[in-house]
Amino acid sequence: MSLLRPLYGVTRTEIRLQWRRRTLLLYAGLVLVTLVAGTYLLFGQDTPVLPGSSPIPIQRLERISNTTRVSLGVFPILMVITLFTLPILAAESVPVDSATGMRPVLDSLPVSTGMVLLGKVLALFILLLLELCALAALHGATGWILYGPFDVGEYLRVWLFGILPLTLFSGGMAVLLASGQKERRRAILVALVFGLYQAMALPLKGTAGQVWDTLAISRPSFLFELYSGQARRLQAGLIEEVCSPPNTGTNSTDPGLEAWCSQLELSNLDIWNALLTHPPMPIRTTLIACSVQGVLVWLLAWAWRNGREGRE
Amino acid sequence: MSMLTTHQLTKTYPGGIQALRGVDLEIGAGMFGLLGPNGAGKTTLMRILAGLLHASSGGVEVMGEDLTSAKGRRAVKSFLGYLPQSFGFYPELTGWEFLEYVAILKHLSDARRRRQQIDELLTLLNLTGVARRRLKMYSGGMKRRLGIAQALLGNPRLLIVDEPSAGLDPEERVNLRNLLGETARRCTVILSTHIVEDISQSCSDLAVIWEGKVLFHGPPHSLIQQAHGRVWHLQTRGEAPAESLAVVSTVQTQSGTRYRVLGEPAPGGGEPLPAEPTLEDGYIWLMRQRRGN
Repeated sequence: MSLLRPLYGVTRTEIRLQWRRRTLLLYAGLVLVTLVAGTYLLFGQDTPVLPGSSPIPIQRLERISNTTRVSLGVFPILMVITLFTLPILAAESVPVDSATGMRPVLDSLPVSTGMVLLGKVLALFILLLLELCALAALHGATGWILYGPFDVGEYLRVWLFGILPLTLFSGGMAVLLASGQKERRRAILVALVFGLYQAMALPLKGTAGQVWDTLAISRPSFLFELYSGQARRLQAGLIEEVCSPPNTGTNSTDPGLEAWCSQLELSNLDIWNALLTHPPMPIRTTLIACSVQGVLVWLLAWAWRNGREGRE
Repeated sequence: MSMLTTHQLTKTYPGGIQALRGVDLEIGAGMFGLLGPNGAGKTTLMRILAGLLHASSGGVEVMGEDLTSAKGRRAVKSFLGYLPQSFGFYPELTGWEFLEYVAILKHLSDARRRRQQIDELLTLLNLTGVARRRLKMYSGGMKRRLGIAQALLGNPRLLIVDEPSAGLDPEERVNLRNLLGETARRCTVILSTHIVEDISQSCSDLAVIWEGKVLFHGPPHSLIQQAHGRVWHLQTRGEAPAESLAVVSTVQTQSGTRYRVLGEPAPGGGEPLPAEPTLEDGYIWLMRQRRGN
């Protein structure tokens, strides 16, 4: 209880500060505009292009198409925004203590550096969680109005297992990595470098060509399988549904169906190619990998700050 | 009874600047004053005593806790109130929110008691009227008083205040002195300042520090005594006193200029009259002796 009380204090104050600074609101606004406008501009006028006749009712196909639009269409762009802007917005969370002059006051209080750091990360997580809930609802409602009904379960799965962990990971890591900086400017620089690192880690294999693959030899692409895993699961489900007519006993590996499906283009996604070249990784493996990396960075940040304690 | 002891304390900053050079001090209960010119090492010493800065060598013991160990620093922080020389606040918070934040971090877990203590301190420091105002709207004096309030939260057993009266108007300074004097009845207060008056009015024990070394340690009257027989009022018709004298004050009068000077023997020229020394005279005499002039 004695440990939870200061944690509660730091978290609550940090939420209050972040809310009043409006930086995370700015991020939410940017994301909302990107999602709604981006989806509309990219796919608003499109109708699904289905070669030949399909045994699936057109309403079902439209529903699948709408699900793809609202769930997958614009998320790659959103990911890039998240990976670059969120770290910059979140990075100053700890350096602001030095910049405002709060650091000597905090250092004299009977609360550990690790507790303050944990409170700040926790506050960021809570705010991002709330923001993403609001964004998912707003974007979903807008998609429903613009395009019609879609599969809400699949849509929420993409947010829950794709966007949410990616956002929390990106923001939390930025706070930890920039926590050793005294100046905001240097913290932002660290965040930029981290953003670049994340871009390198994006699973672009199969879509960006050999050069990128060579550059990204050391990338921990498993960290971002959560999003792409969900995307491919949805795509696989779609292919299975579209390409496996009921009661025929055939499956998606049938050469004739493969040929038919290879022509399939839905919402500009080359789904067949993506599925074949980059199969998704299990969610459990991905979560473990994210947690391990998070713990390592936490320890690094903690050791960094502890090592500097009493020397500044 | 000794509450705080330092033994051969040194601090050398990266770059080779020696801020403290073997400081030995024994501080008892009550209010202790630390005097010294700018750059003497006062703030370095205060930060070490508050556990914010590690000494390069030497030992510090605060109420039985060894400040050179992490365990000791944690223990000291649990009963410490600290007002840094330069500090700031989150400008987005109100005064009340800030104090509540500090109170929670000081483990004041009972909400009712916490609110009561915050309200009391706000009243004591005349901040009740602005408690709900954002800190970015506070003046320098208000911020300083809020800093004192946060240091007093949780009824600390050791209060370290570094230049607490900087930026305060005369009335606020008197109030602060009274408040610190009152606080010193129940805890050890270490007051660092270069305003001699603050110490002369409130401290029973003081040390003068210069270039990282303790020049004097004792009761204020001992420091005053050092200037005894060396303080003079000198009335002249405009001519300046001899260069060997330290001018403490200069007042223009209708008949010329009246100086308060330090020196021995009695200065020639004008009409020197012996004056009662003050703590400021003692301090200036000491510094002058040390500087070799």
